[in-house]
Amino acid sequence: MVNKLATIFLVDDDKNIVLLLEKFLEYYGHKIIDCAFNGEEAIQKYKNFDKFPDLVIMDHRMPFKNGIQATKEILKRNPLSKIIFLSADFTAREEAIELGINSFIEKPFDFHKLSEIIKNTLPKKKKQSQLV
Amino acid sequence: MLNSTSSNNVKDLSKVLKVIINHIRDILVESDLNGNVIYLNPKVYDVLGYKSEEVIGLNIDKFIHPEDIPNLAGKTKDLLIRGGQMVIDFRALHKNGHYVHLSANYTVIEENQNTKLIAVLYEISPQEESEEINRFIAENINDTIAVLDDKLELMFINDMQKKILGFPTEDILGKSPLELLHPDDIKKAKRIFSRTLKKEHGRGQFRIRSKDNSYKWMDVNGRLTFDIDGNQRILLVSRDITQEKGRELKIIEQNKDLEQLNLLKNEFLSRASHELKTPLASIKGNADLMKMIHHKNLKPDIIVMLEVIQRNCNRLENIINKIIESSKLETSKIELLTTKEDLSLLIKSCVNEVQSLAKMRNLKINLNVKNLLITKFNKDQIHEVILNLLTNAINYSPPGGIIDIFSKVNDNVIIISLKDRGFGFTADEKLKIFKKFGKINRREQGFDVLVESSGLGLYISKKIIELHGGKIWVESDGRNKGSIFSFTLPII
Repeated sequence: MVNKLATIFLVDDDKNIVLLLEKFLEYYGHKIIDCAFNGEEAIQKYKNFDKFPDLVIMDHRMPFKNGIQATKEILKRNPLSKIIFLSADFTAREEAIELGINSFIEKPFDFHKLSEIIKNTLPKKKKQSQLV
Repeated sequence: MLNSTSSNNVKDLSKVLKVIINHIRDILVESDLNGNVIYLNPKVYDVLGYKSEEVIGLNIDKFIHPEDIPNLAGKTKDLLIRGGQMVIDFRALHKNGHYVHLSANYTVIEENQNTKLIAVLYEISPQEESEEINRFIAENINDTIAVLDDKLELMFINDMQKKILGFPTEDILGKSPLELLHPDDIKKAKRIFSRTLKKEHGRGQFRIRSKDNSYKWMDVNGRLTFDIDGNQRILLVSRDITQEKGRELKIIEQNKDLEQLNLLKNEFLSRASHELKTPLASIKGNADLMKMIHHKNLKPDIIVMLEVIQRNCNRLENIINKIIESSKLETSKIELLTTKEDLSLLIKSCVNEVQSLAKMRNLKINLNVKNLLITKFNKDQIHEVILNLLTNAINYSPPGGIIDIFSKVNDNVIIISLKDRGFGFTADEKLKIFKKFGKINRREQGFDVLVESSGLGLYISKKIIELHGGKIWVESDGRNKGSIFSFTLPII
């Protein structure tokens, strides 16, 4: 449980959700490398990362730029980035999936489901080596 | 000739008269007072097929239609009393056996103290008859009838026009009807004229300017025809539909407003649901996480409280999802994606899903559904309908009862029915339950129910079934008499 399973970048304009996700993900041993509270901030921070995170958890409805716009820019910067959408707006689902995100989870979310999806999204090699 | 003797003059005149009589286009009959024919000109051969000599000496009644004889006899009697002339129509027997319509002009003459009847008869042609009928119709019906000549100008219009449009007839004769049209309708009218000329008929609704410059909506029916000389004519029969059109336009306008309102409402619902879900995610997430991480440190009563929060978060989430789903089903852009499925298998799987709930309530579910009910439907949506009907039957039945599910196949339609022995519905309640938030609050009514639902389940079920081209309804004899919910799906 205490092993650092993955590095995660959290993007959500709701601080309560960010805090909740932090607690949950850290409980499972993941490392939150940074947080952004709107799409624009997410793009800027992602561009400046020295090392890309293993996973991005992305909200959709946010100020300045939304999740779809931020995802487009992030995928331009790193086409291999793994992104899980976590949004209460189901209307963004199809467009996000077409962009090539790894998964779409609707809010309110279930922790078991979220942890299952994270597990399946992360590269197996790394997961296996860390689990050993 | 003028210098000849008077006897020569008489002779000549008699010759001339004979020529005239033999060549006039009418039949000339001379008869005595009893109707015996004394003289008949040869024209009778052309009209009735007899030679004059075949008829002379016979009674004229032999050649008249039996139904017309009393009228002719009565009128002839009157004529003999008052003298002068009379005109009468009757049917005369043709040598071939059919009857010919004749119009007769009778005159009483006195010759050598003998009273005689002279009749000039002519055939009423079918054309004359129909022209007369046409004129009668044109002047007496409630439609405006107009005839256009080959230049598409008005050559005839009946008086109905005056009542609707108010023009003196002479003001519009010779004009093109296009001059009276609303400018926006001219293009359409030209198109319909050309269609009428090509396909012999055309129809359209136009705004036509009346004398006071207001516009009347007219439904115009055009037909291509030709007069007896072969000239092209267009017959226009038009009806004033201003009032109907006004009502129709008002309804279209109202529908547009309603559609707009509906879209706004759906957008609002969708946004509102999103805004509700975000804080709910936070509440639910924290409760879940607290229980998950600190489970060992929490006192049992705190855990019970957390579970109440979790349960109610799930309930609220369910209501919000139903609101979103119903607003999705209301937008016209929804597309139904169907696959060929076995409805009986889906029903069986739904029954399995609710088995534990039914056991909790000590209810038995009897399944009498035929195997292989194959048709095309959206599996997720129909799954939701069946599950909704089943959970309703379980939730709203007193413990210890039986729920029957049965199927019927009628005229390419599958009918599925769920019969419960539950609380039943009054007539008023039956009208309400398929409406949005039309649920009956059973707890308020003092019934023992498992849970209260969102109030959208049956509304959504109805929308889904209607989207599939089916119907859904409820039958119930009243309070505590149970109910039967049924729905249909067409076999495609």
